[in-house]
Amino acid sequence: MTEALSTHGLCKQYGALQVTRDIDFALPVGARHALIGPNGAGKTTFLNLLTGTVPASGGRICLLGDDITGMRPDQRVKRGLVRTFQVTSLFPALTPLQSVTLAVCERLGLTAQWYRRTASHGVAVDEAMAILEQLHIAHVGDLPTRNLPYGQQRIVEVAVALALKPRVLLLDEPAAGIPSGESAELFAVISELPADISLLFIEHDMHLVFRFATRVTVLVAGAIFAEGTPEEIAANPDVRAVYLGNSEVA
Amino acid sequence: MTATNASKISDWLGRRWKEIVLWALTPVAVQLLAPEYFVLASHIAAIALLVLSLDLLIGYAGVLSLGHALFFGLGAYTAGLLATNGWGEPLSGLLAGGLIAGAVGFLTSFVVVRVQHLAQLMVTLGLGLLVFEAANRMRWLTGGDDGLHGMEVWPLLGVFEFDFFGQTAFWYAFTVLALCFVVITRIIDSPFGLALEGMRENPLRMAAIGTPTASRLRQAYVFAAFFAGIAGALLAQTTQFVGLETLSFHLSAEVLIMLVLGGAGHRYGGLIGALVFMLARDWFSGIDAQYWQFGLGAVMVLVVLFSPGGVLGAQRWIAARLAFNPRRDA
Amino acid sequence: MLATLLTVLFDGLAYGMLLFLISLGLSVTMGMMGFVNLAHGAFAMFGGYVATTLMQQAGWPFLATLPVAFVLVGAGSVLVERTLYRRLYDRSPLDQVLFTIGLTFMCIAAITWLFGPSQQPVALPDFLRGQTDVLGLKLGTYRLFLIVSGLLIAAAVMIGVERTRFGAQVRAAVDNPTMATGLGINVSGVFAITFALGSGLAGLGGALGIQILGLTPVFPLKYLVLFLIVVSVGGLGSVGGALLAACVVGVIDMMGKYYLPEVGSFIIYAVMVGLLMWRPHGLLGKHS
Repeated sequence: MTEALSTHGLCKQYGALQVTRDIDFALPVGARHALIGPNGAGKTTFLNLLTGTVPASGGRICLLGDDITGMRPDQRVKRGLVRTFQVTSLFPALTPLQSVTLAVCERLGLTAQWYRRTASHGVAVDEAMAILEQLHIAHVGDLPTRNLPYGQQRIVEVAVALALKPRVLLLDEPAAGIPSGESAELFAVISELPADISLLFIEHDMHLVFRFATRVTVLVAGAIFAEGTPEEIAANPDVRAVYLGNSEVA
Repeated sequence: MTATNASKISDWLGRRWKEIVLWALTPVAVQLLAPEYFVLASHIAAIALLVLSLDLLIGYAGVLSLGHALFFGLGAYTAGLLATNGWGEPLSGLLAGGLIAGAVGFLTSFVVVRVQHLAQLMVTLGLGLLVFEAANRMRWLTGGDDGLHGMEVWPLLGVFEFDFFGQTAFWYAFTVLALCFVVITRIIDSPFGLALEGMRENPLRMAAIGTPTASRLRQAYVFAAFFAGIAGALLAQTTQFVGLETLSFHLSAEVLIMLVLGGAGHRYGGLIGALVFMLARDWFSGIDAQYWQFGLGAVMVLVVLFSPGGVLGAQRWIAARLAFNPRRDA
Repeated sequence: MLATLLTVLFDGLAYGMLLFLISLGLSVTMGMMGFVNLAHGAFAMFGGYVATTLMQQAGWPFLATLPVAFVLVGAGSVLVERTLYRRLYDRSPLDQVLFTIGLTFMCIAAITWLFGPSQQPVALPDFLRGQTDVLGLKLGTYRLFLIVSGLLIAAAVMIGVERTRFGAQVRAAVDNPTMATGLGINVSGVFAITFALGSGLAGLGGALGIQILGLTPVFPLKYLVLFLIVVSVGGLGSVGGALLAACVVGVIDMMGKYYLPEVGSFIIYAVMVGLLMWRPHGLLGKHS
């Protein structure tokens, strides 16, 4: 099996409005795949369909060989499909350490357990600390998330996702809101992920797309417009026309 | 006792010795200084446990319930019916009350968790009213308006009799409250408790990290129902009477008020709220019922406007402003 | 047998009309601003006490007190909304519940202190008393008056909502407040007017209902559950839904009390829980 994630004829409509049209998409194992497109193209909707947050109107989704089209979001996560959110969606009153520990505990199946203190689960807490250190936010690990600057909150988003040991990781504009000096560090961490994790990320910053993606899909009006290597896409005149100066293409 | 067990206990003592001293001293203080208030103190202890159980739902899981008295009343009537029908053993009656309430909590949790927001509020309210009406009509079982009389509670552990002075009742109630508090604290500190807080903060994110949120909420609901049932049985056994008010919306609302005034989602908030509320009501109602109602309403309005975290919320706000680092119990 | 059934139905409809008049304001308020106003019953109560005060102290005839109740309560509600409620629109439902219940307690205590705890009497004009012959049935004249007035008001509201520009703004604000603001609608202003109208209607309903629902200081809490049932079953922000739900609730409650008195209000609560399980957004509420 070479495909980590694939969709067949995936579509979504709200009444008469078709937001996702018949998408056939394949993400190979170990991919570093970027999804780009103008605003309103349906990129986040596509992600929501993959994770099950939004139920599909038609088509199939397969994860690591299994059909997951009918599964709830939490079931998909347990099978290794993890996402981050475009607008930071965390736990405002909890600290980063608590948030990441929570994710680790959930992965280890510990959250139904009510009779031992979280702090006594050394393995989980240590792992959470290690992730925070890896992303260089261990020093703010004990502050409520709502008190952190936005850039650091974005990093906590990724930390929580990594804690779930994903097989397929969907990043919705991970660098959005992070000053450009720090975003490279974030992507460096992501590029150091094991090769068998497959990555699909939505991005607007074309520099990052060029640096980290080996393949690019362009989504326009809910359908796949073009697909290829970053160089092919950059050279594609139709793609340039669609974007029409929305972002720089190297 | 192995080395690890001994170190665990000394570890626990080291962390919590201040609290342990407080808990140990309180009943002794009541015994020595205010033995004429035993009856009131037992009542407060039972209600405090009820408020604590509601905190699990509201302060930690984020479920808005206007019908929590349902489980309190179920526990009370269970213990009451056992004692009026020949089985007056207190500890088993207590457990029975908790288990029956927990079982009903399990059944109703499927209904409550399926809906949200206003519908959830109305479903919990409706379930509470349903059971109240049913109990009201089933006079042959519950005694209706007159309540359940003739409970014969056997001596505790075969030795301590429940008498009019209420000393046994008080120590019994306080001990049960303390033990339940330890268990509930453990639940809050556990990974399950952390997951509940996650669901309160951001249910969508919880689904995104793989939590079966409906299942966890149902589990929280059952815990809350169980402890509420224990509280109800406790009240029934210490007063040897069960009335319809144990199932009433009035009680559900009062408990909610106590919790919010004390501070929901803070360990001791429910206890403080229950203590202050019950003492204040006892004092004011003696003067003028109208003043009590007006004053209570005014306090609620002011708390929501200026101190939404209740008493404990305000305390933390002040402490943060004064740059004391509030210790986050982990 | 049939005559009895029809009479019970008729009484239930009259009862439902009162519930509709009072609950409509609550439904629209909750639908538009998401504000859980459990003190809404107090507006109805104030309307009742305005009417009885005018009748007892100033000797006014019953019908003349009705518009005064409507206007005074409506105007007073705007004051409450501007000073108190609008601070709480962003707060959690729990905070709003606590706040409005606290307000209710204060109102109850104040009214008890001013008027005493007993039931207020109402002197209906002679032509509204007794019974009227309708198609061979003897129906209570006052109840007939209630049903007719209720339907007229409902029709006026529905026409207002569907046909006027203001009504369109109300509908837009209920459907999507953010988008409505983006379209240039002054949602805050629309809401203030709607709130005043809804509270005024509640006051009117309270005055009209003295004969049927009674009037004591605990009125807001006594009937709160029924108002909430009408709102949640009808669907937030839906006029037709509120009318339908109010009639259903009124009829079922009346029939339950008449035919199955041992069961009492049990049926209403069971039906509500069942309906909400089937349709969590209410019978005619918007499906998100």
